[in-house]
Amino acid sequence: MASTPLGYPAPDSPVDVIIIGAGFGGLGLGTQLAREGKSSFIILERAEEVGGTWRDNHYPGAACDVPSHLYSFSFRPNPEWSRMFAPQKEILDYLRHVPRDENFHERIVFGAEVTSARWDEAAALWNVATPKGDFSAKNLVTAVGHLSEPKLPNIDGLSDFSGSLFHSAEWADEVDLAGKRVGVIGSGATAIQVMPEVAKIASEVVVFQRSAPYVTPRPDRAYSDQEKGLFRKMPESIQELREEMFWSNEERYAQRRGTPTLVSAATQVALDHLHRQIQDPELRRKLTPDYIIGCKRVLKSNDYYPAFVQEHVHLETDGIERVEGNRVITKDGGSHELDVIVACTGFETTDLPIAYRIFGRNGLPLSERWSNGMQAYATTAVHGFPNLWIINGPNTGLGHNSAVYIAEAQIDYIMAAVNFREAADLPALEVAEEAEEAFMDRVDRLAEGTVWLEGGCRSWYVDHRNGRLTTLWPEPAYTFRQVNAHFEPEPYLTGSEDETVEQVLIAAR
Amino acid sequence: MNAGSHISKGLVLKIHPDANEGLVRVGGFTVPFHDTVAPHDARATVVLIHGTGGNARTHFHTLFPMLAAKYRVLAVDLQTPREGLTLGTFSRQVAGVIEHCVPARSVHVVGYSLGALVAADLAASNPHTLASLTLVAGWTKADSQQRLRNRIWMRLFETDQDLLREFATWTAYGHPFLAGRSEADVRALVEARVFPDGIAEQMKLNANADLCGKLASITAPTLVVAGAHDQMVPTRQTKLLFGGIPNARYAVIDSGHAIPQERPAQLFQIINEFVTDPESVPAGEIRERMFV
Repeated sequence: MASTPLGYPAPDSPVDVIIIGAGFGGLGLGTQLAREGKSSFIILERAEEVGGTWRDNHYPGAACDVPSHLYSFSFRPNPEWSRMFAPQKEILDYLRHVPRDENFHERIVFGAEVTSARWDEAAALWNVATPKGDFSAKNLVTAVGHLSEPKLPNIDGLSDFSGSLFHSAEWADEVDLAGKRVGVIGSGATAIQVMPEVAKIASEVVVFQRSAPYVTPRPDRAYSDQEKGLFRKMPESIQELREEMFWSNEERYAQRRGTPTLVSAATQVALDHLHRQIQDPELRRKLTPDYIIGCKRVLKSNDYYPAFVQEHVHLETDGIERVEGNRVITKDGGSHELDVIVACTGFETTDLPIAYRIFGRNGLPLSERWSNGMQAYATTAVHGFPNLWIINGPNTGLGHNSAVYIAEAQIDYIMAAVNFREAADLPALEVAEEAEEAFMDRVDRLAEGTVWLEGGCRSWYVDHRNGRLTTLWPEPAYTFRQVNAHFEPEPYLTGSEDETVEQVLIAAR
Repeated sequence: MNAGSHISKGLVLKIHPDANEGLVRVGGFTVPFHDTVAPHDARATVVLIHGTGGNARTHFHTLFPMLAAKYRVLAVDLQTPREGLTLGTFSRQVAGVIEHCVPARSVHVVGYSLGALVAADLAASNPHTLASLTLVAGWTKADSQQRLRNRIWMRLFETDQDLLREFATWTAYGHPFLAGRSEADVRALVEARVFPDGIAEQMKLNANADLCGKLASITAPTLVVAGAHDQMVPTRQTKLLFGGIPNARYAVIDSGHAIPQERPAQLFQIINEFVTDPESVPAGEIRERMFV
């Protein structure tokens, strides 16, 4: 643990690392930097609290659908998880403890939304502007997540809805839903958690579904006192459980390669779940997906389907035409009078807003570099953007395993890169364009034949500008670590003479 | 396409969309195989040999497609004679399929359970055919603990196959795997258990097979994979395989005997790493725990 007071820097003195965002990615990297104690760093956080997506998404029913002993840092195991799938509040508490326990809370600047980050070639520094002042650093790390920018649907008249309208990630706590008529737009991972909770208090609920999701049983349960005691006394038992969860999730990867035997077995599990919980043939038909399982996220819920069996819950599949006053008009002319609309319509995932605020060599915006879809070498570095490292950027999502495992692999890579640059005494590390292209060709090849590209659905995994799988990693999670966790300097040294490269490598080692 | 329409019970799906199914005549047996061969596929070939009571589909339904994303995969369905079964009966069938499908090329052979003994027998008698050898949950010669289980199995096979389904499920899976499942899931595992023709002959071979005289002559780089919670092949046995094969390294998976069912993704990663570079873990060493 770092005991040296690297502390909060003076505004005009550059730090080694600026991290944007205090969610899982930023707090994980902060922990490793603080423990190593070699580099000075600050974290710029736009909100007034840490937690990222787990702070913003506090809607009723919010929980994780990766088991908590796996969906947590390997270097901060938590024996106290109350359930196999902990609720949002508990995950947020877990994250709140990280900067305090690891002694870097004072390095987080709150209310510091990054308005621009510019690479200064001459000084070899990133200059970052925020409402809390300007900061500069040798390295810039974005850890803003890919589920952080709420996306509202493009529906005629929606913004003029006369009732209350809000996005699930911007839950309006002041709006009391008791006795109200509530419309839920969407049927993805958020909607299936929100709807059963809303249905408990609302007088009427209408779910507007564009395509039916696959829903599988959620094997949730509370951990007993004996189990939690065991986790405390024998931490290796947490690790064993974590490994069991990890490899069991990894197994589902084989389904995503479109293997018919496995796809049909997985489909059967989901459809059996539907048939056990829904008897009405018409409702069953509407809730039966029309694409191959896994093409979109496979959901877990025990209470979503049963919620539809209640008199006051309705499923609307006709598609929304427009909104007029307090009414939602469907494509076949039907109409629903509502008091509240909750948009569970997901996030901006393929065109990341932060990319519009980062300017690399010659002032090039990252959004322009990515105008035809995002891409990065080893999922972390972009040509033209020296000393910029991206956590949770392109090809880091998973259709089948824990995002925290992925972030940890990237953190290992970034730690090694930051230390290498310092040891080699180079002003900047910039990945060669050829290395980045070759890496992306490899990702494209790996994505061929996966259910995400060939499963007959429209999902946030694929960028519709180029038809490429840009948000997901197309291989098993374990392979992500193998390919992307180990920093190799060569792709960053191609511009130099061979002799210089030799000298740099010798100096660094 | 409606999701319901591509589920048709009773229809036997191929183990993998790219797998060609074929038959080879070997010494009086017609041996089926599944081969992902494609024109111009220069990738290394992994040969899969199943264990007792299984076939390529039942033992490798998940491992096969995982491997097929990186390798040409060739899986054999072993054929059991009514009597006189030896390891040689099976290893000659595997050699015949390899000779037919991948002539004059060395292959990576992976055997599971009884299939591991077959693979070791093959490696000892055809040293030039193998680029590498992976023995998953194999043993050298059944010890008293194993022979006791074998006798219980035989007695139940003759008297009470319902109880045998329960017993075989209890012995096949690791304690953590079964304990982590609901009663209904465990019941489904019990009910799914079948005893195909030839299984009793295979059980006799399990009790009597003896690799002891052959291990020293295995020259291929070898990986021995053990299930930490294996009750059918306790780690004492996998360690003896590791001890007896000169060019062997050792890896442990937190699994019962049913490693390809309990931990197929981990088994895939271990095989993939080994096949990619068989000497990356030096002979005589234990593979370090995989970071998760």
